[in-house]
Amino acid sequence: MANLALILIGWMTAASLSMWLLPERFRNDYFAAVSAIFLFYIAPASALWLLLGTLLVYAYMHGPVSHAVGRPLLLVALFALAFLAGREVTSSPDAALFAPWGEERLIALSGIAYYTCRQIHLVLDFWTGRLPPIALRTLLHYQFFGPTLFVGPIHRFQPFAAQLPQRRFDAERLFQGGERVLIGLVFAVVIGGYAFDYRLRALLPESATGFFGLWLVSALDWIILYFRFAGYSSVAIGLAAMAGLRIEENFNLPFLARDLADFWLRWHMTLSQWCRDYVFKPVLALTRRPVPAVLAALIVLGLWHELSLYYFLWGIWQALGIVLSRFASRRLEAWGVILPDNPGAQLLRFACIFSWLTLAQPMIKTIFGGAV
Amino acid sequence: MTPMLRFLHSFFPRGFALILLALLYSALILAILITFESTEDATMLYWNG
Repeated sequence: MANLALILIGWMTAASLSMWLLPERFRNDYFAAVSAIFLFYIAPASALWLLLGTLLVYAYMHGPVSHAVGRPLLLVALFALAFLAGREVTSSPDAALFAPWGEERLIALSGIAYYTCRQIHLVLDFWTGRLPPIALRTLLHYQFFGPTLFVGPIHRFQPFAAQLPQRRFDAERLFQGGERVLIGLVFAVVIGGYAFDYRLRALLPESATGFFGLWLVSALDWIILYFRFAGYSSVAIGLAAMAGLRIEENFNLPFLARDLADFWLRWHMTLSQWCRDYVFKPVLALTRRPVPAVLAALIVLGLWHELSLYYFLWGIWQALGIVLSRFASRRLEAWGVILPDNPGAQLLRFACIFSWLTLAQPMIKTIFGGAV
Repeated sequence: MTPMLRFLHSFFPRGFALILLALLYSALILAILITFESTEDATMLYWNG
């Protein structure tokens, strides 16, 4: 099991290095093909669904021209349902049927959380006229882009496609990418995985179940999540740089945010931007009121993590935090209270944000008990 | 020039910074491999599905 993560990085590094030896016109095809072979090897069911989904998007883009909402809505619903069902399959023992590697059944539909968002982005951007019909080859280059298949970021098509024709060997970028992969692995595996998840978690008392115990677990989870996810995102961004492409950042020092809304614009940025564009803005346009729009966006953000009552309530909690922090800032401004830009004020901001984030789990579990 | 090399080069001459960088890379790779071995960490392949 352990070796597969290293094989992924080794495979992608080898793919990047060998790609530069090929004539320019074959490079994009080669890299997509090598990525697809890896996904077919690791998670065949996931690779087949991604291929089928890409063909469906292609058929939609090149089908009869229509501005009706029916077809895009049907595709979005299909992709979203497949994602939710796929996750259930992935976590059930039957998943072994899809990936015959015993313990490695967890990876049966690996990457579906990320490429589903990319598929929905393609469909909705095409429907709203922000994307022209795309050639199948380019769609495959985008969807079977190895570095971002497993851990995101949810990169957008437009900046990706703009770089494809200008993909050139750049030694500096290659080394910078390699260094980013290394630092990302240290963050994710050594600090987040070993130091916090493996060592520090073992120090927590077994009976950490009361409100304070749940809070401790929640606080540790957020710290681990940051190191792991920011680290894996760095690995993906580094691998993409080695392959000659610049993709979107996923984290921008989130714990230095000014408030909770700012935090969600700095944490898993590609997902929060996706929620902003495809949930928040449409709901805002329909209702003309920001509160339901924030609520809808944060509930979708929560359910993206897991389809459960807990994450539904978690989304409501985060939305409530954003609404309250905006209300508080306005009141403070009205009273002429302005927080200075010094370390003390930053520490206060961090304490407020971190408290709200880490209190979600103990509050929900204490109030709803066994129901979540 | 990578960010780490630039950082080391701001304190040391280029040749010495390169040697330090090679040592640092080796230490980091070793730490990652030992950690992978001891924790059997492969979350990267199924991170959130």
